[in-house]
Amino acid sequence: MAETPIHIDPSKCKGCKKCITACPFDALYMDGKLAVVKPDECRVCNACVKACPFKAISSRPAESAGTADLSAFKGVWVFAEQHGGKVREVAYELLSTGRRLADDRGCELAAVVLGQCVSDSVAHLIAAGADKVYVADQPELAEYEANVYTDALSQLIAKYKPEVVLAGATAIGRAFAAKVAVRERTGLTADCTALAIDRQTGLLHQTRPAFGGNIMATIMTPKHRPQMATVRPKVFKMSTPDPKRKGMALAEALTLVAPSTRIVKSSRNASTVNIAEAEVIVAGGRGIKKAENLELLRRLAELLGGVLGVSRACVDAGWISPAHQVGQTGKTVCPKLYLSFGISGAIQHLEGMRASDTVIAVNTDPNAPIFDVADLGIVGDLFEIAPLLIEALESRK
Amino acid sequence: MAGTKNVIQTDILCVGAGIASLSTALALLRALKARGAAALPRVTILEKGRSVGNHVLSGAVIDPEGFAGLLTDEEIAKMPIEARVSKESFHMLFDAGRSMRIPWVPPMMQAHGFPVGSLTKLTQYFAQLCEKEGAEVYTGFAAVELVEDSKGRIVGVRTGDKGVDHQCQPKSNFSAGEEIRAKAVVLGEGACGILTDKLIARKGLAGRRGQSYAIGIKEVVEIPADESRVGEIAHTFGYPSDWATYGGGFVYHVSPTQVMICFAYALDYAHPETDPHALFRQFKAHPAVAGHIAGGKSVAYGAKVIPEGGYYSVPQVVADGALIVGDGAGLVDTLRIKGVHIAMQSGRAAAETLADCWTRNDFSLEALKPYDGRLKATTGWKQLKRVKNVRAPFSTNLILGVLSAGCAWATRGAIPFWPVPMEPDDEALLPLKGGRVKPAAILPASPTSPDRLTDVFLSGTIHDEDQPCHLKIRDRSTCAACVTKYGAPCQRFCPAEVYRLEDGHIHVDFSNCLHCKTCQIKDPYQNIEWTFPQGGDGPRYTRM
Amino acid sequence: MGDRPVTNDFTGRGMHIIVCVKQVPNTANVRINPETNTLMREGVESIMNPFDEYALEEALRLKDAHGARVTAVTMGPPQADAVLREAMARGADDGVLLTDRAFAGADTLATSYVLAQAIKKVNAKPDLVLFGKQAIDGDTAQVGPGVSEFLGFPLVTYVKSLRIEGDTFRVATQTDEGVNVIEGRMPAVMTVVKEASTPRFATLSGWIAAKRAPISRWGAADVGAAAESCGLGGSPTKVVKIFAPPVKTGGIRMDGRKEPSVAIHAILKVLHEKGVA
Repeated sequence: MAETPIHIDPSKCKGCKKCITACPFDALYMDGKLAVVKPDECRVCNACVKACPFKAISSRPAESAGTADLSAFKGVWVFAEQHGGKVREVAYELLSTGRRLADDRGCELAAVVLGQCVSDSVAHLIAAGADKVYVADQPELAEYEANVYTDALSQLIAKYKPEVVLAGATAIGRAFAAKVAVRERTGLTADCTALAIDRQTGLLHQTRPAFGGNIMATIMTPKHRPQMATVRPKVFKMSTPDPKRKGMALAEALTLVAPSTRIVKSSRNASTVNIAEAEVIVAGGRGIKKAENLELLRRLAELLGGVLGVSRACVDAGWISPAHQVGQTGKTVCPKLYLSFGISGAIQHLEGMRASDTVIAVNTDPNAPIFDVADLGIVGDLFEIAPLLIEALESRK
Repeated sequence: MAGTKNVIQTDILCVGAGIASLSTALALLRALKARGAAALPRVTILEKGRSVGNHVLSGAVIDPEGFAGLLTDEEIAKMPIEARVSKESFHMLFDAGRSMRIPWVPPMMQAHGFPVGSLTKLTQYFAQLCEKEGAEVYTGFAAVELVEDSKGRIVGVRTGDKGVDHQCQPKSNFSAGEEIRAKAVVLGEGACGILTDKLIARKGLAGRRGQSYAIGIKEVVEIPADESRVGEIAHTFGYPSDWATYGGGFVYHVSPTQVMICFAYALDYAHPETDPHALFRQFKAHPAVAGHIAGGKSVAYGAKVIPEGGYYSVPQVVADGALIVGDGAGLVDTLRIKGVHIAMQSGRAAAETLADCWTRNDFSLEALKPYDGRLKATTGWKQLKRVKNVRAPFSTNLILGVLSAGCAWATRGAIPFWPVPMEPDDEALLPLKGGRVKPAAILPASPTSPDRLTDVFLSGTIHDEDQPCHLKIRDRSTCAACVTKYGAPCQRFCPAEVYRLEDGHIHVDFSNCLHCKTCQIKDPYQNIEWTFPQGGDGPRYTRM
Repeated sequence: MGDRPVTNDFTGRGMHIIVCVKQVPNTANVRINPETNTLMREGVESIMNPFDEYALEEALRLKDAHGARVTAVTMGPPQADAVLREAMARGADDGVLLTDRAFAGADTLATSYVLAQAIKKVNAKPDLVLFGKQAIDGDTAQVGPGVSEFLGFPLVTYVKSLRIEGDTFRVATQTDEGVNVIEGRMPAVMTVVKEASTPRFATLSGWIAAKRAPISRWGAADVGAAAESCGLGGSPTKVVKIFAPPVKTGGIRMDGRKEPSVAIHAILKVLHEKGVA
């Protein structure tokens, strides 16, 4: 059995307890005057190594060698997921961020498109910031299949050696990026909410939530390439496309493995959307007063490309099924935007939407606790505000 | 729902993984090992909470004599209760602003050096010790019914069904309750135990008086670290109780960052507008108390009833096939407000009896009876007897109560020598004056004074919402009469905001329930029946 | 560790389903103390990852329907055996605990590697390897796909219903737009979502039996895991910092009663800033 990687030198340990304070996992304790590691709690995050003023702590795991010749890897790539020939919005959001990273690093930004009849997308991708677009336009790539897409992207990575690869954290993106990362024996960080790159070293700083959004972690992939990350749709903003931008398209003809599964039937059905995965939620509470009034919020949700949520009061009243309930006993949601109407914000409800990025709340009661967590709080009548908002949005369309 | 497939067999079955049951199991296995028994009994402990301790709530300042003969010195040293009482004070609160510190702590309340901390954590520790000895603890299973044989002997229990929807139909994951049989059943359900009370009623085991209760409402407050106050405890009486109701509060500094604060109020109070949770908040706001939690934040909440009837309310503790231990038998010294040590002693007494039964392979009623004698030989029992008339006079007024208490102490329980009567809790309520409920004063919420709904959240209580409502209102038409006469007091005496009068109808938000049983006890029409929700549901106390 | 590992050999004994489960803290209650930057774990209990309960349920339904053998596998510290007992209490036939100091600090690559090694040892050709969609502590959803890559088995994610006929599977999966029905041949790796069948309860008799059931405990050497591919050393990603998420405190407050149009304007501004409208 291997030793614990964290080693505390008893001759150097002065019992100052700084390591115990630094450890986020409560994995260190004092045995008399010496600090001791609890191996079962230790996650080897090395916070203690950094915290010890006497350099008494070292981390000595058996290390993998990492990718050979890191300097050969150049460029930021964005995987441009497409459906039916149309590139998904998340790809454009990632290109905006990718552009910033490429500029910071002083390298090129490329988009990668796998599919069939996808040549139209090239111009859009360049306008969105790509210097190059690698296009594999083949019938085998028409529909996503895990094995085939993994093979395709891996071949391209092996050929061109990008330093960074970004993909949207969609149902497809997350799974297939994970397979690619394993095939390349490199690191993948999921659901990043912030990305930054070091100009000198090319190290990508990846920040993401963990423990259901209750903690944030910054992660790096120091010795392996490419550095891979997925990002949820709507986390980064899409910048305005510049149709005058110039770029290059490179056609790739790939010899691919056979698919391992096949899609027998595909149906589009908005009603099966899970609010826990939604990026935009319009939510109503007791202030809605009647089941019929939920229609107002449904319409607003539709206009914003989001889904309808409710507090427990609406479910208890029988106005809607529990599938839409946000809260401690309902679903926990983490949308980019949470727009609440007539919800007072009892803590049981707040627990379910606390991880929302931006909260806009409308309530007639100026003391409603929801205002304590709202980025924008409107003391007002939802039956006035909501219709006006709908009107404004409809006129824009 | 019928149809239990097979019957599970065990030797000793303990209902409830509280300190009394666990003490029984621990002492039994150790006693038999010490005797060099050839074979050990299978000891099965069933707990309705999701984890051990989830439904355990107490102060607690523990009289260490309870550990004698139960835990080794090393085990006592390793208990997850670090603090020892170092400083104690007693305060009389006159009103919202004034108070007086009693210059000395009444001798029977002195607790210098006693362990003070979380009973929840101690219970978890006991469970670990029990499992090391070979007992088996199964959580998430509510024993909902006692099983009797044709001769009326208790032979086991049946656990509740799981996966039943709110219309009483089986869901896709329906799991029928199971029957588990044992040679003897130890009932350690705690205060107001459902099976225990039904057994007492059915077999005529009640004491001279029915049981009386107080509600204990408690929070754990995290305060800015202060090592110097660890071990400091304070007890108060008077405000916000009214003069004819036994009530008081305490504050315990159990660690540099944690304070336990609690207010207990007797449930034989008379005023229908009484709201114990509001009294708790008033108690916390009093200047003599607020200093203990200044700059802090409430992080955990809970409520439970405390048996207060004392000596005259203790039922017979032996039935054919069953023994009653702990709070279920009302073994709480109400003057000192200590019952944990007596629970442990009752567990030891039960264990010694069961050890004899096991050795002789005789679990008949005659063989179980010695438990009664052993219980009455414990020091805890003697304390109970000494204060047998201390509590009841407080229901007349505070002065009389204090005089009576002092008298009982001075004469070691000899005077008063007659059982001072006590009104049953549910009969004590007076009708509303003027037919209307006065709107309650609104205390602004703060980190150390959360509103009731926020406190419910802090209890961690959670129930599968798609299940039948476990709080049965027997006759809805009675509610209308209650609203008129008493102003629907269930809205106020429930510490978890389960009951809500809206549009003339009482809504029952059963998923807030803390399993405290106050509603069943205090309902003036005895119209509410507390039944078992799905096993595993309920509060999630982790440091109460 | 002391226990002799119990080797289970399942090849050629009928349908065999391996379910990977994880013991996680109940993350609803995990918080970081923003002042000290430490995880506040007081009162946080350990549970079986909720998504894994759904994966286990699918496996148990196949056991009910086809008499499949179900083996639960977990990688974790010694106390993680509790989730194996829970899996067995619900009906799994065996439990395998992968526990070794060398596994500590593993990211998703190292975890996928170790699990794949263990799965190969349990059965080189199982019918299915099931995972919950993601673990609620890491929230990555990467290990299921990672294991499929190491094993070379087809991968299907977001499964909500599962049927088997011969050596073919037919599943319904949750997509961003709706539902896909996918077919393929086993062995395969699948990740299961909460829209799948409601997990069953463990019965009391199930728990009593599970308490007595043997659990295999394997370390790195037992599964032939190379030291440099396990644990922290085998993890390309490194956590460099943990911190508290920004605490929400009320932001701008407006009165929308007298002049609702001002409020509308403010709302639209936020919507535009966030790229929603």
